[in-house]
Amino acid sequence: MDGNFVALIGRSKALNSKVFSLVRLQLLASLAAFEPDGVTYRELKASLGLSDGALFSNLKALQMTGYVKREEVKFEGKNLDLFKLTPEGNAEWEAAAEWLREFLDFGGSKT
Amino acid sequence: MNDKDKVIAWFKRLGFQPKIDNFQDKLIAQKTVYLLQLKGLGTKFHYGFHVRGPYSRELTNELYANRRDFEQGITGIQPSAREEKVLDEFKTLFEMKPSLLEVASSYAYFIASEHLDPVEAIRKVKEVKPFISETNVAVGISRVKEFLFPPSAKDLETARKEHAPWQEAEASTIERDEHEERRNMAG
Repeated sequence: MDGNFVALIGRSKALNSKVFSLVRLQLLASLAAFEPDGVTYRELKASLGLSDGALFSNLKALQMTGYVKREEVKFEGKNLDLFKLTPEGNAEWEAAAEWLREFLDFGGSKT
Repeated sequence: MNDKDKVIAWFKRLGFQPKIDNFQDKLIAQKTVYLLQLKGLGTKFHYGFHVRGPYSRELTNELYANRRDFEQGITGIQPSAREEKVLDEFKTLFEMKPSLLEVASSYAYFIASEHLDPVEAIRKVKEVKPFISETNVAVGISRVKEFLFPPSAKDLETARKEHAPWQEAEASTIERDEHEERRNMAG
């Protein structure tokens, strides 16, 4: 099992450091749950409990890498910012989620 | 009869023709189906609680897979008389307003699925929907209580007992005021 764990940690090096931060994982997980509809800025802020600074900068970083895109939508006459995963962002999320699943499975076996 | 045809029939009765690419329409569709399902109209979409409140991926998949049917109201069925009555009540109460539906469906989820007491459910709604005005929160909760959680005979009896001393006090105050008024007029 020790060998497997080492291999598991070794595979973590393949994870994308632009994605693998807690806030960015939270954002990608939230957006992935609503594919292809997307989530508004105010919904992300309320549900994740992030400051405007942390939310804005992390969304900006994910947009810069091409993993998230922004659209403007109308809601009860107001303009809202809507964020969606791009296909590349979805692939990165899948890779990160797969590694996390393996990691949790390993911890759950207690061997 | 499948759930998709049933939902399209509901939407037609509600005068709601969703555009599947429209953010607001998709939100209305999700919340409407959730509340009608809780009312017992018979569909079986699985709902979880996500950043937007109750949300069904199954329903989203149906909306995209049957875009034309939803947008043009194509269905082979008609709502039953009972369903029509419920749908008409739903439309009157919620007016298909997204904010009211957001509040109503989140409150209903906290009560029905998480079994929170009403006070805690209201607190949670305000926590997850801080961007919705206090007025819309109050109206949405009041309407969903009327739609889904009408008071039982036992609740009404408890309320009657609680209010009885106040009503008696009010009646005796009115009686005393009238008596004094008559005495003043006589004097």
